[in-house]
Amino acid sequence: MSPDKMKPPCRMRRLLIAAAAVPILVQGRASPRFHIACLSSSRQSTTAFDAFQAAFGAHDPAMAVQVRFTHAFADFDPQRLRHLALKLDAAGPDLILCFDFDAAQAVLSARGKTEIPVVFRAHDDPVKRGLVDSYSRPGRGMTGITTFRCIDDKLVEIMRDALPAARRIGFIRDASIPDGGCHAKAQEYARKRGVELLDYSVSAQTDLPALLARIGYAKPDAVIVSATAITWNGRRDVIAKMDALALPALYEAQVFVDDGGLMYFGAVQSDAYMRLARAVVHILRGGKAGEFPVSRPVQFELLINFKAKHAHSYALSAEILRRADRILE
Amino acid sequence: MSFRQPLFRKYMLVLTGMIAATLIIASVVQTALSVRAQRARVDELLMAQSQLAIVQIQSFLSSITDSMLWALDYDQPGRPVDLAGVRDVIHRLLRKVPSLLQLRYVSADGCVRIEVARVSVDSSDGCASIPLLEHERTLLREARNRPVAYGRVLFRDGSEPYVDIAIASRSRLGGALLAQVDLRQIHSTVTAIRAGASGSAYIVDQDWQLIAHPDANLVLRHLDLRGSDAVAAVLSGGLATNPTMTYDFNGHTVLSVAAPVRGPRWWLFVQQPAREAFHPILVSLGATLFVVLVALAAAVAVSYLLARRMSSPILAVRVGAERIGAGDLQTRIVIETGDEVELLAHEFNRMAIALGESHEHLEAKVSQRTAALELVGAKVRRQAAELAAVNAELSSRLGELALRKDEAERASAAKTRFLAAASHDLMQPMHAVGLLLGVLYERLHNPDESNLVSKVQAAVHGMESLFSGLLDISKLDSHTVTLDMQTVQLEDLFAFVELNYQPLAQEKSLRLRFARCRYGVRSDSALLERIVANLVSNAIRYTVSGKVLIGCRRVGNTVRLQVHDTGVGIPAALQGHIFEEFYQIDTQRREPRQGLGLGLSIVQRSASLLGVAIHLTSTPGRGSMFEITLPLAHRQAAAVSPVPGLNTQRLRGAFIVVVDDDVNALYAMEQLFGLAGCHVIAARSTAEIHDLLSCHIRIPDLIVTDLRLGGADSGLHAIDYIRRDSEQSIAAIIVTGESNPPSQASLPDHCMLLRKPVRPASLFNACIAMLGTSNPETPAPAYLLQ
Repeated sequence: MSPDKMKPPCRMRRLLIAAAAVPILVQGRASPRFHIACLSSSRQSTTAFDAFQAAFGAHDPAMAVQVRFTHAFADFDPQRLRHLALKLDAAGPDLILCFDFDAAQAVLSARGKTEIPVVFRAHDDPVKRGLVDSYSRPGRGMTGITTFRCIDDKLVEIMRDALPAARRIGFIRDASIPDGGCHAKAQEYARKRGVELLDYSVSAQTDLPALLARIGYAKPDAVIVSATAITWNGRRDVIAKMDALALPALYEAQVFVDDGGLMYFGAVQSDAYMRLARAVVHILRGGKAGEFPVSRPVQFELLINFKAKHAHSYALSAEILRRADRILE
Repeated sequence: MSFRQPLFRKYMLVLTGMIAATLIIASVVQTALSVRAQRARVDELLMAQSQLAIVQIQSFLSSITDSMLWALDYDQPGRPVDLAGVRDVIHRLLRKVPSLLQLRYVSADGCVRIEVARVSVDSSDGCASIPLLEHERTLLREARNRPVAYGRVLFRDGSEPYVDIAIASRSRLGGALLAQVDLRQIHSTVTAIRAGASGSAYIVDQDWQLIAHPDANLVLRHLDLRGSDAVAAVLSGGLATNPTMTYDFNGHTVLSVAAPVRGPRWWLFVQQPAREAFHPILVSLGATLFVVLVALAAAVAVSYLLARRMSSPILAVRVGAERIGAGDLQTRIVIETGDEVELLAHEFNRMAIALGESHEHLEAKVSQRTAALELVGAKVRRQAAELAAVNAELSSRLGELALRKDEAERASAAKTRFLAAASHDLMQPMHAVGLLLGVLYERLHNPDESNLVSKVQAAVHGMESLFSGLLDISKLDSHTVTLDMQTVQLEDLFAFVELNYQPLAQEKSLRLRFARCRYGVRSDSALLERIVANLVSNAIRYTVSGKVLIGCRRVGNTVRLQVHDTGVGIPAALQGHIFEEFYQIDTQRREPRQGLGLGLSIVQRSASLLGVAIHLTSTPGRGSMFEITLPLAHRQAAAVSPVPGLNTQRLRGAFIVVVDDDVNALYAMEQLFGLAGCHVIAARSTAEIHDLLSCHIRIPDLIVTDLRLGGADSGLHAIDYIRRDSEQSIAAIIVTGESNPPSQASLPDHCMLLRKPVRPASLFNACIAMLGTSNPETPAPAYLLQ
């Protein structure tokens, strides 16, 4: 799961959308027609919600003012998440918007006789994990978007190209999430490239501090940080640790770079919320959720942040600098 | 006079119709041509937009292929292939072209030397490590023969479309680049295509797959468009078509055109909502319609003016002609149109002048005639005044005559009342005298005395006849007789008359003969009997020898009753007087007891009352024939006729109650019935009957009573009392001297009414007849005996 952070241009756009919606409100459309219940495993999803709401208003301003949102957070408590899912199913909103895979799965498990449409945003493979039938026709009254692609080996390749001398690369990931052999492919690739991939696996948020405390013991030359809920929540600690150890790190989400990380390679998030908004509008206008395709990321980018601490001391290769889609200086 | 189609309206309709028809036809033709031209322009515009869209799509593809050609610059003769350099170039290419997912450099021998991907890891491990699929090999072979080779569009995970593009180097080394292009990236290009304000475009490949659409979700659903008519029309024909009307994916009507995308064998469909595409045509039609309406309004106005201008002179002629026709001969029609209408007006004016002159001449003649008529009128008025004076005098005299007529009628009525009262008062003692003489005659045995009583009886009988005739005349004249129309059997009537007059005929040695007559007639029985009896009596009286014959003959629905005699006959000159009162023919052979001359008067009055005519045929010295015509009655039960014959033996032993308030009459009837061998109870009132009957066990056989018994008592009360006392409907005879006796219908059953004075023989006959009606249900006889 890949949390986001709202960018300044998006806030400006939201203000403009809100200003455009004022005449509509004056015309008497203030009373909302639709109720969207938002469910998330973490309270930090409010940032993602802000990004979604901005995209929603930009995509369909008239519809945006007719919607009432309610929010529910499980705080990573599976029991609470299930309880909230049951509660939402009983409340009968027009649509349930899930901001992570676990929330969508909880709603699916709690669903009663009435099939309330669900739109989800996930960083997992929804087909392989059994959430939907297929990408083109997801079925089950569900649709959404995913930012997932198996790029663990690609991350190793980029890190290897960025630091040709690196032979020991640590890989922080959430081992509790089934990845369909994605990380194994990365291990295989690292072995071919003569790189020792250090397994920095965690299974819970509580594991992260201990990991960070001993991360220097294996003396890695670089670290790759996958985008999981655990790393997302502890990203500032991770970045601080990398800076403290002067370890070059490659992250899987832009939010890490935004918080001072060195590099990231992953799906561009800017169109993800727009695709999410399209799915929501389609359903509110009477479309069937199960027939709306689940969209996957279209664009990927490599971003190098020379504003990061010790960035200039890492001696990144010229090749990776040429390959980078964006370089922040 | 009103016209169904006035001239102005005709002109107006014709002119308006002609102008409107011309305008409408011209407008329709022009509109049709305009619509055709504008439709052609719309089609051209849409086709131009489709060509522009093709350029945009080609530009999207060209950006990819051009970049690939740029990358192939490394494949130069004389230079070894630097895989690291190629990888670096390809990475730069991926950064430059976001839609590229993967690039492979394939050497001339068909080995993939390096594979660089956007998401997957790069590979350059050798020819065998990166195998090529069959369609990729085919595509690479095609790339040798054409600048760019496009593969079929495939969908990753059934959702994300991509296409393989191969470009071969034209150098000696002959390497080639095989690119995998993410077609989701073409979305922005397709979305940017505009056809009008809200038109759109989409791309379909040769396998009927939707590969690009402004609604990206339709593409991700991997739609097969074999069901789309618009797509089928193009892909089945394989040629670009002209714009056609069809439906979009949402079912809206659109104007659609397809254009081929060179290279990948795709079809670009550009569509525009029909409403928007034809908006200029609709605006043009609206404008044309507005212009036509304005022109029509102008046409109506012009037609109105022209029609008015054309019809006003004719209307002026018509108005002038009407005034002349109405008598205004001073009217002149003023029209200055300079055409035939003005000439017509001139002729009308000439005609008016001629008519005026003729009118004046006629007026002079009329004045002369009027003066002459006034003179005649004055004379007529004088004569009328004279006539009025004469009329007034006549009216005055008529008034006097009316007064005198009223006085005469009052005098006649007084006379009638006097005669009626006198007749009644005289008849009562005459009745008693007659009965007493009958008793006296029976008791005398000395022939001289009996002869003397007989003469007295004859004198009394003459007085009775006189009184009876006068009474009848008075009744008929007083119009108090009420008709009681019923069926009268002539056979019975003849028998009764024969019974009464046979003795008289035998006394004169005449043969009185009644022909057999079975007809019934509709008449009042009493009046008819009186007519027949008087005619028979009259015939016997004026016949010295020979016979008197009475008969009848049916003619259609009538019966003619005739009385023939061989008497003296009546001269023709006297036949008009014989029906006058007290008129008697003066003849030598007249019967000494020839009556009073009232019989035929009674006959005439009775016949007049019945509405029957009397026909007289008479020859002096040979006899006379009287005939009356009576209506034939329908067959009914025959009335019971009195039993003819005078035989007191039939009365012997009968128990008869006699009631009369006149002591003499009561005594006479008691004695008469006693001599006939009857058992008689004589009572003067109903109260006495009660006392007398209480001593008898036997029920009376007959009741003979006077009608008026004094005070409130009457014969009807007496009959009713005896019948109730005996509980039997005993036969009764009511004797009355009333000038206006009750009708038969008003009497109780089994009652006979006899008119005073009643001769003993008549009384006996009536009693015998009533005693014979022992059956109570038999209707009572209805004959008035005299």
